[in-house]
Amino acid sequence: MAHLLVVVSFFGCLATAPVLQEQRPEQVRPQPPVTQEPAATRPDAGAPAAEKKAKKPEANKVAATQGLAAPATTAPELPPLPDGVTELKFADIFAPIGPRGLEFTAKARELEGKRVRILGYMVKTCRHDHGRFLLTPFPITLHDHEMGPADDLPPSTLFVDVPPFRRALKYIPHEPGLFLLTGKLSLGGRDELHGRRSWVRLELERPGQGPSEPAAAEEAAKGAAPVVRERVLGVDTEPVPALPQPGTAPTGQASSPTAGSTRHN
Amino acid sequence: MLKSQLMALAALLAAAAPALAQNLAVTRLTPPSELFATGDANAPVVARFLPGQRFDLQATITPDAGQTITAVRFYINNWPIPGASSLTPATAVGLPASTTVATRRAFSLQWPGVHRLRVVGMQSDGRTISATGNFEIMPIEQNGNRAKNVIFLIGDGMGIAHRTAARIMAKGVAQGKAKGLLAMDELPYTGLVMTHSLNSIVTDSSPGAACYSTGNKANNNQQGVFPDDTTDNFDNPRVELVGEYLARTRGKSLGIVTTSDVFDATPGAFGTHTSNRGAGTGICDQYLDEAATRANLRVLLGGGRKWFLPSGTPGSARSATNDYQLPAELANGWGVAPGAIDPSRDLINDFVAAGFHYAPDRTSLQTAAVNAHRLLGLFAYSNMNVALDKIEGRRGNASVVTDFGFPDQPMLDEMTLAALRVLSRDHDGFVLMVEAASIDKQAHNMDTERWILDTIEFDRAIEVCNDFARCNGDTLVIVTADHECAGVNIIGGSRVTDADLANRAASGAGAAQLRNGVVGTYDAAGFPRYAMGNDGYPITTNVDQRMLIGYAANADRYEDWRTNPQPLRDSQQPFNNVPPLSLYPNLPTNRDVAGNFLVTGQIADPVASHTASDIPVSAGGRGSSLFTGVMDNTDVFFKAMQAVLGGVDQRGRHH
Repeated sequence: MAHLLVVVSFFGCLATAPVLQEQRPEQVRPQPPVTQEPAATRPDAGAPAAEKKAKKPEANKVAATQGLAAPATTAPELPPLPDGVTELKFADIFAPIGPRGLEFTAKARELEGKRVRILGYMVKTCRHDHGRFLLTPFPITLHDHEMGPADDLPPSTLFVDVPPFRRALKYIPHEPGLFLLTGKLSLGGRDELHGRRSWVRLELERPGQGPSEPAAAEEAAKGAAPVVRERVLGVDTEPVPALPQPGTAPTGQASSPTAGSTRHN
Repeated sequence: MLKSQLMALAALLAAAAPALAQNLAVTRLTPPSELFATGDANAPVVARFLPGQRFDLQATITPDAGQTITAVRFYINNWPIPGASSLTPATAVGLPASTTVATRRAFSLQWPGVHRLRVVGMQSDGRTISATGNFEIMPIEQNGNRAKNVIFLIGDGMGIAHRTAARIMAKGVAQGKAKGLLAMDELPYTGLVMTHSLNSIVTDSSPGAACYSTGNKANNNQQGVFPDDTTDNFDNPRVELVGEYLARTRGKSLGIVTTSDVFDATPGAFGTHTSNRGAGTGICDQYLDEAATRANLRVLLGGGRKWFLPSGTPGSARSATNDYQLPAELANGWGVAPGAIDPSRDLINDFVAAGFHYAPDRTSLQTAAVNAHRLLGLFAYSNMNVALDKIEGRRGNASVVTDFGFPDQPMLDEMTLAALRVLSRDHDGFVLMVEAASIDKQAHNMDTERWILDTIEFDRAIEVCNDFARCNGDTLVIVTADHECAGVNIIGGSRVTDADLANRAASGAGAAQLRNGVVGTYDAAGFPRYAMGNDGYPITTNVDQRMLIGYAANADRYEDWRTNPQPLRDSQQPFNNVPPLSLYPNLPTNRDVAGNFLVTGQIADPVASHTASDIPVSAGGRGSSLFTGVMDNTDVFFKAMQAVLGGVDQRGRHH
């Protein structure tokens, strides 16, 4: 009888919850959020303060369509496009992603090897490469000395080369905010440092000029004309101080309490 | 002896002195032990294993100058271990010439207790050297009522304050009483877990997860292995993983579900063996080459599609530099495929050929889970988007998921449900690991709202597992973390409305506006209230008198307390007032962030860091009564295995 009861209860449980998915329909088909306040009175978290309206006392019960974060902003008005340069957006690089790999758009393929201009954010990272930084459509910080290539970079991430600094083995320090970059576009797979592989690259050129002038840029990078170099980047162009690596002690201390011992687990 | 003879002998010894600087010595003995490292026989045993769990024995031996190591023998309790030991050069930088690594692969022992491991090495002139360490075989007591299924739910980086903050936001507090409990709160047993790794009090996610999958400590950045003295990322001495052990001995299946790139540390620790957590190509190959066969891996869900595409396909990250090929002695010793350096491999096709259904998005995941017996889901090229951004996408409010190119990503509870549907078809049971990866990643970024919402997403996945356990009473559910991240704590509540906060941020007056008069402590913290939508997430996180979070392991950050509109968007509004910056500007660099409230970091990294704090573990279901008290992270593995292999009596004891 006990055995029978066990069998009944097992199938009974299944009868009341025959399919896991059906137990919790809201988990697989989220319901539309509740709207509790007209849209016109919703404060816009993304707008400057002067444009905000006063909140009502029941402000916590704002319309769900306000969103958890600020709404997406529109692109700024950009300077006129130089001759021979084509505007490129991150969304122009790859076709909508299917179930497998990426496909370059026809526009991207046409622009390979040509001068393009693109607006984006410099990625902040722990690991640096000489004369190189990453550009993305929104700000990202990589914690790559722990997580490596397990990152939040979108597929359209642009690897930007700054040739004079690459040749001079100089790092590019991080700058917040938007960058408007002009350079030569290149496509195709290439192994990079720190376990990454680039598919879209930009060889940067100086604004207001044509393709890179290696001689002048080299002199700037070497520091022969410090005023020029400072103006070139607008920031301190000294190499970024090396970040402490895991397991190393602060300066002035022994690296290990067992320093000198050759025995270790 | 005559004085002249003594002087000649002294001269001879002096001449020979440089040649004697390299001495015959054992410099490493694996498994690691305090007995070997310090000679302390009374210290806690570092390495512990289940009866029959396989692991490698290894020793690094340096010969005298001019000599070579010719033979090595391992002994357990003075009994010689049968079988040959391989001798390979130690390739790590800085070791003396002819240093040799001796390895005996895939050893196991059934007898419980502490055992002495002794290695004896001989060099070419016949001299020998020996060293002694120890390890323990943990007893499994047979008490009936075994757990057929075990689910490890890992909130990466989730400390106690992360849970508290998620509860305050999701449930609210009224007159001092929580108005509801999280699903993880409802699990009946709770303990504290110490999270140190083999080489630091502050772990990272590799050893932080490997302790749960192997019962053993590992070095930071390493998983499923002990450290060694070679440069090869995949030849380290191995420890059999929980999925491998249970597949081999009990015929159980393995499932791995994560919101990160599937090669990342936590999922990798349950399916692979490597000393380099960043070796994405090799790790993902090992999932199919080894885990799918040796561990009966049936479910692998997460991000990381870039490792599964041939290297010539745009988006692929596959590279020969982080691929794997095992030495023959390892492959033969463990009976596993040797692997190959094959960046052009189409790993998705190979998974499909092995019987896996492939799902690239949520829609196909829900369809595939209905009938699949093996399931591969790759929902992003690297990490999946976080809960806040996925929910925003579903509400039609934001563009992050669109910018990423993956608008139809599943939530973690949906992935967990699909995994359970597939795994529950195995009549022998299963072990499932579910990871909420971005609690940690967003805590590193000090992005408060994003890690709180990821914790809420994690809790919804826990609820799915709790429901499963109620219907399947032979299931053990364990909720834990690998470590705490960022030194998170709830410091109080805002004294002002969200509109006032926005005005203060726009003023640029720094702490005078954004700290003074804003941060309410003690009574002034009040009870922050967040209204929840029908989808289970807050309608908005920009509420009046919001909860305020501080960070003890913080990097420099500008703080205005408000939700970042996009991941890590700085609080200035460059689209509105500040023109874009050309890389070679003649313009002043604008380093200021609108609110100008700089919270100076205590660490030099650009992001917050892990801490060494203990973390809570909660458990429910069959055998859960074992998970109380303060325990080492490796104890969680042995408690789970006691429940699965030996059971727990009805009074919750296993004697």
